[in-house]
Amino acid sequence: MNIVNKKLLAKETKEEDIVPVDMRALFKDETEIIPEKLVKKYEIRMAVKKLSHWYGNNHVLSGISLPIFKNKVTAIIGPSGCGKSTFLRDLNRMNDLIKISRVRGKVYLDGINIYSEGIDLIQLRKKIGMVFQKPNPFPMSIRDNITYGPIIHGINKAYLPGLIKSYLVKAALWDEVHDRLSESAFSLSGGQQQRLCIARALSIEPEVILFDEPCSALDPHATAKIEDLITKLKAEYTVVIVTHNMQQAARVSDFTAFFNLGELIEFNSTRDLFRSPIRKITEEYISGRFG
Amino acid sequence: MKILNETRKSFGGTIRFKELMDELNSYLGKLTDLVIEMIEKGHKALIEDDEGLFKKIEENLCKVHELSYQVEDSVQSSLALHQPFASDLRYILSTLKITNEIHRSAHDAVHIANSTTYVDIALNKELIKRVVELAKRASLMFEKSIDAFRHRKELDITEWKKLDDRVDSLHAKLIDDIIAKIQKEPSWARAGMSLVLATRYIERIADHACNIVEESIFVVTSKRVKIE
Repeated sequence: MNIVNKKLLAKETKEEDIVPVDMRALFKDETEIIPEKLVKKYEIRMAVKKLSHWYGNNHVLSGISLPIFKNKVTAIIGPSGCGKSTFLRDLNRMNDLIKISRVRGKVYLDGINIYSEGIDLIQLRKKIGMVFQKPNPFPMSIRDNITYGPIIHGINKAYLPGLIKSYLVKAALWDEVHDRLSESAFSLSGGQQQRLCIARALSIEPEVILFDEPCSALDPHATAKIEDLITKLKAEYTVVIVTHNMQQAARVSDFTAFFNLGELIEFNSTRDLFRSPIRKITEEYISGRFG
Repeated sequence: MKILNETRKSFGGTIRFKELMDELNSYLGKLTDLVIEMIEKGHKALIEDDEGLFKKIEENLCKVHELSYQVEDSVQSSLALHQPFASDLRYILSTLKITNEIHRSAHDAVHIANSTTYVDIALNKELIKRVVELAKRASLMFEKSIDAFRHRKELDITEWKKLDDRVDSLHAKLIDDIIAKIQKEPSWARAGMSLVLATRYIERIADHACNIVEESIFVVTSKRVKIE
């Protein structure tokens, strides 16, 4: 078991109690929707197997199986209410916070099912960071937004100045804010606030980053900056993005999954899915015939 | 109007995108009708030995250019303003390619009409009859191919391979017979050469039709096939 997975386990959990699975093998019986050539070719970082989700009696996700490839951007698309955001939040158990929420199925990170007993949720969400639709900086200075997470996780404060620059550079924000780090995060524009949130997410050193409609509140220029940032981030991180914008999914992602009515309809390389979708309903959705 | 309604049903996206596709299909329709008329006049010029028709056909090239630019303009607008995907995108990209095929067919029609200058129909009735038969086949293939493209019809590649082979064999036989006649009557060489060129232009129209069919199949299936 590698170090990442050890960190996922709660202190009382014994390593030998949790055996990592071969994530490629999980998709042997899913070739109708998950192309075998992709599973063979790319390294899998996360694997979702027969995931179903209910809010009370409302069945919102039904038997989703999907690989998330390492250092790639996977886009989740589909009409409103198809379960995209629920699926995204299931990837780091954010839905655990919702009382009426119920999950069945498995989500693996590096071969470990994150829904098994003995998983440390704080560590899990540290490893799988999230950026939300609306920029939501903390009501504090730009600097403190970055240092908040590392301090909570017990970093040596001597490293903080270096970290601030490092993460703001990674989020393509350093040049714009380096001389105003003490100012309130709310003094930034919407696009800058969203990049600050990305820098904040990076500051706790995640390995997977989930983006839930990160550009829906931004203008085209700010959107382009975030999209470029996502493209750069995939060199170090694995990215999953939910978007309603077909052009954005086509521009930024390497793989695309199309959801409809809580089911995964089609998954393929973005290039193939947007040029020659296999299923008629995918074609109808991406070309604006419904949804 | 019927075609425009069908166009709207064929495309996804917004009302404005569908209107743009109506416009694109309307230009493509006008261009096709004009070029078919030119091809038919080219045949007529051959049958009737009417050199005057050549001038009339040649004059139409300006309209062909103009309509081609209008098609190109609609394609540009649809890509820039609507960013279509999948079969809508394939249709638009293939439209650009088939416009080029239609445009070249228009030039072929002009060349066919021009070849009447040196051919005395009265002296070559039997050969001309066979050339016209070839021309009718090519013309029908051309018309059918564009109709299939515009209506996104599924086409049988085997049937089109047979049609292409038939035109190729008729063409080859004609060339052999024309050359045999030139060898027998060397004074007929110039007329014979003109007729060889005319049949070549006719055969090229059939080739353009096959290229259009390949694009039609690509639009419907997203697969590239070759009629060879």
